[in-house]
Amino acid sequence: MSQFDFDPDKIEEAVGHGPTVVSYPHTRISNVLEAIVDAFGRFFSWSWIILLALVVANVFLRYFFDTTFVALEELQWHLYSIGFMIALSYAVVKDGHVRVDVLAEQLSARKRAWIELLGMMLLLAPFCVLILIYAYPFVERSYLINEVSGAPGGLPMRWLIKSVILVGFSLLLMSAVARALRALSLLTGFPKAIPAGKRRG
Amino acid sequence: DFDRIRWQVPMAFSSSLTALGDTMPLVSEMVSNVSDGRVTLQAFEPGKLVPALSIFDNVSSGNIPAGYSWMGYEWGQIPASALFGATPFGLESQEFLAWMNHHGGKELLEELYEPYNVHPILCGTISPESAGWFTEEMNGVEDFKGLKFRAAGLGGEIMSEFGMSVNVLPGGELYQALETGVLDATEFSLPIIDKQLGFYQVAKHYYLPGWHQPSTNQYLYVNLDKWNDLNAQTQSLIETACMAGNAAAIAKAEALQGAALNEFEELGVNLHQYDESVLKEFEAATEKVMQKYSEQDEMFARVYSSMKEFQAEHAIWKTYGYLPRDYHLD
Amino acid sequence: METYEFIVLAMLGSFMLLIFTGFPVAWVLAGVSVFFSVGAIFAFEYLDVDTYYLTDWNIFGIIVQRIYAQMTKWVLVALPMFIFMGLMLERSGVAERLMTNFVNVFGRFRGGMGVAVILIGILLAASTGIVGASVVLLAMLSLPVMLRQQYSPAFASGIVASSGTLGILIPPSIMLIIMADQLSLSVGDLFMGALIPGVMLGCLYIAYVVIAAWLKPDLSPSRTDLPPITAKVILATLWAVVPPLGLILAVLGSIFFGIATPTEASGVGALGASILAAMNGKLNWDVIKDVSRKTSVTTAFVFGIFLGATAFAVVLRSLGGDEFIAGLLTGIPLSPGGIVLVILFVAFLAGFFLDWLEISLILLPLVGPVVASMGFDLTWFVVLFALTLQTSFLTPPVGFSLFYLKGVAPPEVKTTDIYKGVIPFILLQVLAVTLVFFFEELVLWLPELRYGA
Ligand code: NA
Ligand code: NA
Repeated sequence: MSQFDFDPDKIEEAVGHGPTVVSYPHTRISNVLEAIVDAFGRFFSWSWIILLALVVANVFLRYFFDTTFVALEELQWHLYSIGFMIALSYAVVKDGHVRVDVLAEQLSARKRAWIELLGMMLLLAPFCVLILIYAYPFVERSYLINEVSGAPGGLPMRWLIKSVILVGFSLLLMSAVARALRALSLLTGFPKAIPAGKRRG
Repeated sequence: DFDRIRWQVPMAFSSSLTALGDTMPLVSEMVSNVSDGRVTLQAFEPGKLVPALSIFDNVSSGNIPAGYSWMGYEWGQIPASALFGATPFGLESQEFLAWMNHHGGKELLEELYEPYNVHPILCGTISPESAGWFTEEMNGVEDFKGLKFRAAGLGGEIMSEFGMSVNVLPGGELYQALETGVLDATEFSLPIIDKQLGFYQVAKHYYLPGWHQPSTNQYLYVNLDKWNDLNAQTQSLIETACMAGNAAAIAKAEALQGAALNEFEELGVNLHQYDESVLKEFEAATEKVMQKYSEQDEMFARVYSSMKEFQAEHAIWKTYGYLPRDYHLD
Repeated sequence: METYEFIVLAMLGSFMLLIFTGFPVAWVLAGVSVFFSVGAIFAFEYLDVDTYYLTDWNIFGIIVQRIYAQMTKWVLVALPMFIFMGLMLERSGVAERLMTNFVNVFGRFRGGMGVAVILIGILLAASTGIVGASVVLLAMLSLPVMLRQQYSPAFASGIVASSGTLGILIPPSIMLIIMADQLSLSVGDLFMGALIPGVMLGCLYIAYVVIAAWLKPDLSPSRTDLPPITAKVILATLWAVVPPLGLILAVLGSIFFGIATPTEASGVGALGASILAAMNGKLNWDVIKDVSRKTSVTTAFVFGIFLGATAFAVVLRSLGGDEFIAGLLTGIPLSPGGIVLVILFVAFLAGFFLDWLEISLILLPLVGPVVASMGFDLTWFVVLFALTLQTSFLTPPVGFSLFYLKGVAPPEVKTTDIYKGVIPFILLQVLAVTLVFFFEELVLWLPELRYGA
C-alpha cells in the first residue's frame, strides 16, 4: 500500500503556496504582528472541536431526551462565527487565501512583491480600517440597549458576539501590515530582514 | 410640492408571499403614482441590501432611510415591540386599527420608538396565522409534552409551558425537518402562504385558530431624522399610502384563506379547531408569560394593559354587535 | 449610456482586471468595493454625479451588518464541520486505504479512477449542499492519487471540480432552499424536481470520462503493474470500502431517519471520521491540533471570499447594478420559450463573474413573475435555472469550485490546467440544460409522483 500513500504535509504546503509564490523576508515588526495573529489563530482553532461536541450533543439531547435548548442551538453559530472570523487573519499569515495566479505565475518576484505591497495597503488595509470604524458604533449600540437574542430563551449579551468583528478585523489589519512590511523589505531592504520569529506548531 | 426622494426600502418578507409581502410594493407604487415619480420608495427583497432581521437596526442607526418589517422581530432590542407585532389572545386586525388610531396605540408606539430615532408607521395588518402543522393528531394538551415544535416569538415561549421542546430552526430547514421527523410540528403563517410553501405535503394535521397571533402587523420604519426632514405634504403622502396599504392587506388576506382551506381538505389535510378547554389552558399560560414580561419591562406593561383595557371595553360590542362566530349562514 | 451604467461597468471591469494580478480574490472583492464606494461618495458630493443610491458613508454601516449576517448563518455551520471531516478522514488512514484499493481495482481500467471519484462525488452531493466542502474533500482524497497514476492534471481537475459541485444541485441543496424562499415555492417540490436532472448530470460526467479515456489513452492511463485481481484484492477492497461507506451512511442516515438536520449531520460526520481515525490508532493530540488548525485555514479562505463578495454585491447594487441588469433583460422581442432561453443565457454569462447566490438574489425575483405569467411551471423553471447557475462554480474567472480546488491542489496543478479541465464539463452542463428544457418531465415527474400536486 505504501506506494500510493500521500503525504498530508505536502498538501498543507500546497495550500496557497504555488511553487512561484515569493517567500518574503521577515522583519522585526512583522514577526511581532504575525506572532500575535498566529497565537490567536492557534488558540481559536479549538472552537471547531467544541463546535463538533456541541452539535453532536444537541442532536443527542433532542433525539434521545426530547429536549432542546435554544441557547445551545444559538451557541453553534456563535462558535462557528468566532472560529472563521479569527481564522481570516490566521490564513493571511499562512498565505492560505485563494489567488488567481494564471497570469501572475509569469511575473518576476519583484513584480509580485509590488502587487502584494500595493494590494495589502490599498485593498485589504482600507477595507479593515473602514469596517473597524463602522463596526464600533454597531457594537456599542448593541451594548447600550442591552440587546439580547431575538428568540425567547436565546443567548444574552449580543454585543459580545458582535464585537468579534472588531477583534477579527483588528487581527486582519495586523496581518495585512505584517505582510506589506515583508514585501517592502524584499523590495527596498527596509525594514531590515531578520530570521523568522520563533513559532510553535 | 412633494420632496424629491429616492429611498431604498428593504423588506423582511419576499414580495412573492401573498398578503404578507406584497403590501410594501403596492405602497411604493401608490406613492410613486401620486407624486408622479418624485417620491421613490424602492422596495428591496429580503437580504438583497441588508439581512431581513436587521432592518430595524439599520433604520435606527441611519444606514438606510426606511425599511419594512414585522415588529415581532425587534423583540431582542425592544421587548414591548413584540406586542405591536402580534399579541397572543390579543387584538384582531380591525380591532388593532381601532386601538392604534383611537385608543392611544399609535402614541405609545411613537413613544416607544422615539429613543431609537425611528418613526414607525403601521403599513399592513393581516388575518390570523394558523396555529401550526402537526404530523400527529393532538387530543389535548398532554399530547404536547415532548413534542419537537418550531415557533418564533412569544407563542413559542408559551407552548414550552406545556412541555414542548421549542426550537427556532431557520425557515428554510422546516420543510425537510418535518419530513424526516426532526420536527413534529411547526407554525408558519397564513393558510395561503403555508400552501405556497407546501407544508401540507409533509404534515397532515392543520390546527387553527391562530390564538398566538390573532393579527400580524407590519410596519414601515422611517429614520426619524429623515422623517423630520420631509415636508408635510410628503409625510402625509406616505401616511395615507400606508393607511391604504392596511385596507389592501386586510382585503387580500381575507379574500384568499377560504379557498386555501377548502383546497387543503381536498388534498387530504385534516383541519382541526382547538376546543375551548385547550384554548383556556393556552390563555392561562399566556397570562403567566405576559405577567413575567410586564414585571421585567415597564413599557411592556403599559402597552399590554392599554391593549387589554381596550379589549375589555370592546368586548360587549363584540358579543352583542355581531352574529356569533359559529352562526352558520346557509 | 447613463452615468450609473458606466460606473457599474467600471466596477465589474476593475474587479476582473485586478483579479488577474494574483492578489487574493477575497481582498480584491473587498478593496474594489471600498474604492468604488469612496469614489461614488466624493463624486456625488463634489461633482454632482448621479451615483444612484450610493450617496453617503452609511454604505459601510450596511457592509458591517452584512458581515454580521454571515456570522449568524446557521446552515453554514456545516461548512467547517465537513472540512474537519475531510481533513480527519485524510489523517485517519481510511481514505489512503480506500484509494489504494480503488487504484488496485479500477486503476487497470482507463478512466476507472475518474469514474470512482464521480461516484463518490454523487454520494457526497446527496449528503451535503456545501460545495466548498465537497470539492476540498474530493481533491484531498483523489487528486494526488490520480496524478501519481499519470492522469493529465487538467482531466483530473475537471473531474474533481465538477463532481464536487454536484452537491449544490442534488438535494439537500442550499441553493434550492434559497430559491424556494425567493419565489415562495415548496422546498419539497424543488428537491424532488432536481433529483433526476442532478443524477442525470452525474451520469453524463461518467459517460464523458469513459468515452474520453477510451479515445485518448494518455488522459488517464491504465496501469499495467498492478497485481492481478484475486479474491484477496477484491476482499481487501470491499473491506476498505466499509469505513467510508459507514461514514456516508451515518451522515445520510441521520438525515434520513430524522435524527439530525442536514446541518447537524455534518457534525455527526466529523465525529464519525474522528472515531474511524481512533479505530485505526491514528488519533492523537497532535493530529487533533493539526486538523483543527487546517480547518481554520481552509474555512477562512472560503469565508474570506464570502465577506468580500457580500461587500462587492451590496456596493454594486447600490450603484444601480440591479437596474442595469433589469434594463438589459427588458424589451426582448421573442417567443415565451425564447425569453426563457435568453434568461438562462444571461444567468450563464453572469455566472462568469458573479456567484449563484448573487445571481439568484438579483435575477430570480425579477424573472420569476415574468416566467410564471407566460404559463410555465415555476418548479421546472427554477430547476433549469439552478442547473444553469451550477456552471457559475466552474466558469473562470470567478468560479468558486476552481478557487477551492486551487486552494488544496498539489503545486504541479496549474490554474491553466484547471481552466482547461472544466471546459468539457461546462459543455455537458449546457447539454443537460438543453435536455431539461425540451423534456420538462425530467423535472415534473417525480414531484407529481411523490406529492400528487
Ligand atoms: Na446536495
Ligand atoms: Na463563474
